[in-house]
Amino acid sequence: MKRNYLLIPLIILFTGCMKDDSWVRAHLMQSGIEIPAGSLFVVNEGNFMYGNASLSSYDTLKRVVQNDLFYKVNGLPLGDVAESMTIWNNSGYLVVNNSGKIYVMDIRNGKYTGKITGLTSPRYFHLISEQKAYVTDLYAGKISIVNPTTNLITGSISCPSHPSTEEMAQIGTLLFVTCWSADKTVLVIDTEKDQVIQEISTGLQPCGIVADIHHKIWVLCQSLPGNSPSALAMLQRIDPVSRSIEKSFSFPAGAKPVKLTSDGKGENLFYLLGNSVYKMAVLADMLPDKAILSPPSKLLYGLGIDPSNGDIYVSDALDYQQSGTISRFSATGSPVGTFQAGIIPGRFCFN
Amino acid sequence: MQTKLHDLILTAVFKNCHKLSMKFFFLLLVNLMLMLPSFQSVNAQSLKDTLSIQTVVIVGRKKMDKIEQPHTEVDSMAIAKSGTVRLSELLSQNSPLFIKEYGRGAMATASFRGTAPSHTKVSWNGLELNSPMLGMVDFSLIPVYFTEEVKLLHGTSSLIESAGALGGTILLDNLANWNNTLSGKVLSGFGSYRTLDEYIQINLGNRKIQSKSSIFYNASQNDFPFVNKLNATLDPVTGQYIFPSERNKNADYTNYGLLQEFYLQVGPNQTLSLKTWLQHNDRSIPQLLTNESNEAANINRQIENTLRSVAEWRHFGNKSRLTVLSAIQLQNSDFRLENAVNGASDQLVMDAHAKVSSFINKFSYRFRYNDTFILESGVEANFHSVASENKIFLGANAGYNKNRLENSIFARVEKQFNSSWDAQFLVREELIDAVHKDILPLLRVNFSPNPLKPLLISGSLAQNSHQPTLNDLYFIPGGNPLLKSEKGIFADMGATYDFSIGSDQFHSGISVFESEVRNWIIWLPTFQGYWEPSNIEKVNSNGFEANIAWNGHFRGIRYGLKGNYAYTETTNQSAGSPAYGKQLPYIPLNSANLNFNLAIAGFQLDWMWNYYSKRFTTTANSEASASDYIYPYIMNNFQLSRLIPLKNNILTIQAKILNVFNEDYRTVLQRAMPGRNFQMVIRYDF
Repeated sequence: MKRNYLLIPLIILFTGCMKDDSWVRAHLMQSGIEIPAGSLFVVNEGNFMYGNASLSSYDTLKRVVQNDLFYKVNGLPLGDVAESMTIWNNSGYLVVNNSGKIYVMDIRNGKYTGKITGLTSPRYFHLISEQKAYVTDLYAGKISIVNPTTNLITGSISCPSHPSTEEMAQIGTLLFVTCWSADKTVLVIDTEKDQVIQEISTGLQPCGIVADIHHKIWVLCQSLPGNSPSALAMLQRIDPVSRSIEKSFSFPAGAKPVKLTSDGKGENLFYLLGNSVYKMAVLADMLPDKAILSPPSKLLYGLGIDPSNGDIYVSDALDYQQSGTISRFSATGSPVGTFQAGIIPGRFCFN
Repeated sequence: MQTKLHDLILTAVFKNCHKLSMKFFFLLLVNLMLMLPSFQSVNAQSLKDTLSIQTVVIVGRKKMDKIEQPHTEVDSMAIAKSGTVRLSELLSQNSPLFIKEYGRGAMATASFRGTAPSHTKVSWNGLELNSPMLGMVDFSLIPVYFTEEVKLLHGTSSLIESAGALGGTILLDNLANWNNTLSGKVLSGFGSYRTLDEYIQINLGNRKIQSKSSIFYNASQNDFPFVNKLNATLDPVTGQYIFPSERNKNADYTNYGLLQEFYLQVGPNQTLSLKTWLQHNDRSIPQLLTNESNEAANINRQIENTLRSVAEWRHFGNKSRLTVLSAIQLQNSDFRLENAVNGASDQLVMDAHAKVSSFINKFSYRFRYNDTFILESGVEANFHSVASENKIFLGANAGYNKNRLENSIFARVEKQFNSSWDAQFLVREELIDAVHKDILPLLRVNFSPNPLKPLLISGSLAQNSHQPTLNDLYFIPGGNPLLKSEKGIFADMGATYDFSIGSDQFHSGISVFESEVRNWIIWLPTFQGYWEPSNIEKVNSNGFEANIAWNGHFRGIRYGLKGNYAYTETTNQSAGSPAYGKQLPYIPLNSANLNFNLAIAGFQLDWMWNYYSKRFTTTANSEASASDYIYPYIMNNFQLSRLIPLKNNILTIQAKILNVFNEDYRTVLQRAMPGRNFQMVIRYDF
């Protein structure tokens, strides 16, 4: 017996006492979790090539947050650079950009129920019907068609000359897709024929796109990084009937607006500019000259508007290498509270 | 014009090198093996039978030759036995450095006393290998074959070589053996995952001239199997996880190179040397373990061709030594990232090229005024040029074309006050593009309480600075030409003690260090969607290092134990920073290694143990998630060698087991690491 006791410290010294399995198990939830209806999900991008993307859920009534939800419930990391999330039929479709897949998760308990793999660099997921959804891609030069019921890729829509497709907004059977990276195009897709039927030339680097209450399409064009002052960021309105730009608002030189979103009714647009939040009515004739919120922050990164009550959520990525902070404000701009999320909280998904 | 000359030289060299093939190596190997009997009759310099003699202790004070600096010398036997390993592996097993590897055969960077990879300099025979573009050295691409001496200058000691090595400097040197007439070595190794290592060295010469020619070839498919626990499919019936059995994909590598050394005794007091090193590296970087993209997506390839050449002239006077060195380093790097998607044409996502040229010129004069006083002075003029281009970066080209002139002047005084005290004072002036940047002083004091006892206590204080790299300043997009240089105050104190007990010899050393670095450079993402470097206000680093070595013999059995340990606390001290007071990511608090060797009856056993403590991956040092840190890493490697004397030569058959206990281990997040694997090496020294 004495000899066995001597062996123990030697074994510990010479072999690792931590294994992959025990390392993951140490962070698993011991029992299941119930995610209340109406919860907010925060998609945390993580650092590129670190594989530390994560998902947070936030109970908006009790103001309780659960971080690293996916990993803790399922024992599987989300992957590398989680870009967006879409909810349909109690399923959350988590697009993990640099892992080439979309995880499907039950939003009531965080459990992994399936995945769509074999994508190149997926960005956003848009549901067309129970049997069809579109997935945009950063490099593939096409939009993948997937069946959200079977989680299989069923086809694709070729986008020649446009390697990058980004966000989507739909009016009737027409889907408008921004071609973001180093491009200046919005594609118009017939969702019944799964075909690009028109290309609309826009400002530089169109990224965010939303539909408003008047069935118009709004596009935020970032302009290129480090470009000359003459290439300005723009907010443009597209008429889906004529499929042309009917209004353009130019930002001042050097302005880099991001994260275009709208309220639940589609009456107002919101975006981030610097470390401030701006709000613009869809019927306004000019860009707002004053921010509605300028919360103390290191680096405002994400913006979300609760469609149920207009609450404003902004994320601060701090130094990009630690958990970010989420600040919640009422629709009138009064602070409600803050909570920690994951690394680089980029997108908000409201249930 | 410069770029054309750079291209001309590298194309001419590597056009012919590409014709080298495995067939050539095998044919050459076979021919050499067939010629072995003729080598046996030649009384070349070779490893001879060991003859044990009684230990004799020599007491006395030698004439002062140089001031002792805190340093680590990697044992020459360790270098000789390492055979097929890369410099990253040699250092992780024989020094207190933390080596961060991105996977087997993938990039490996070093952290010396908690500093960044660009703060560790590597000098090969006086030529700095650090890229002026990136600032760092990839240790996985430096073969141990091409060096004979490995010495680490810790902290302030690095200033005697150059400025900018805030953590320390690694010196790699090749030496002439003037007693050699004909000698060499032939090595052939094969290992798991279709790994091949071939090496030949032939040394010819006499008392006046020596030539050493070496070539190596190293390749591996690197396709080790593993069960991927980070991806799972759901069993449609039971709902249980099905973890895929996979192979490490897109991780192959091929490296080959040539080293030619000439040494010439120009006169009774003059030597001239010329060393030229050519190398080709070709590898792919595998995806993360969570990747489940299209099979043909994100295929990448990194190719590098490098030419390094150093010419040095030394003149030894009665009291002086004059050294003149000129060196050139030309490097072409290419990185391609492609997405080949069914139904869509191949997308070339990234096509990055870089041409880096460096011209180094050094002059130094050392004068011994008397037995207790030495003066040394020197000047350096280096020219670096980088032409970097990133084509088809999602439509917008990026890159830059910049040059930089670096000048350095130094003066050093070494004084031995008495048999117990000596001191060194050095001051360097650094100029960049003819603009004065820094004055960097170093003061070192050594104390030996009893000159008859080998106990030495040493302390030093210095100021050092590291200039932003050309990428930091000019990369498009994101480069920041307004970046300040990183500057710091460094102090250390330590002691070494050698003693013997019977026939056993012991060496021990301990040192404590403290540094404060301002304007530490870090790259962070911005609103514009790209990354930019900026100066963090302050980083403090403190800790201690300890090492032991024990060698002995008993009734024909030789044994040895060596160990290194480092405790390193490197924290962000920028007021108001969200990471204030936290350990910098990926720097372990504790690191250690042990090497045990036993030689008996022509057999040699070597056991190598390595340990790194937990490493945080975030600046907040959180442990809330399994992605926030990497668990402690323990590695055991074992090597058994049989030495067979063949007249005056030695045939060595070596078997290695790497990762003996088949450990799970992680060096970075989500990279596959191999389990237990094997290697067999046959080596002939003549």
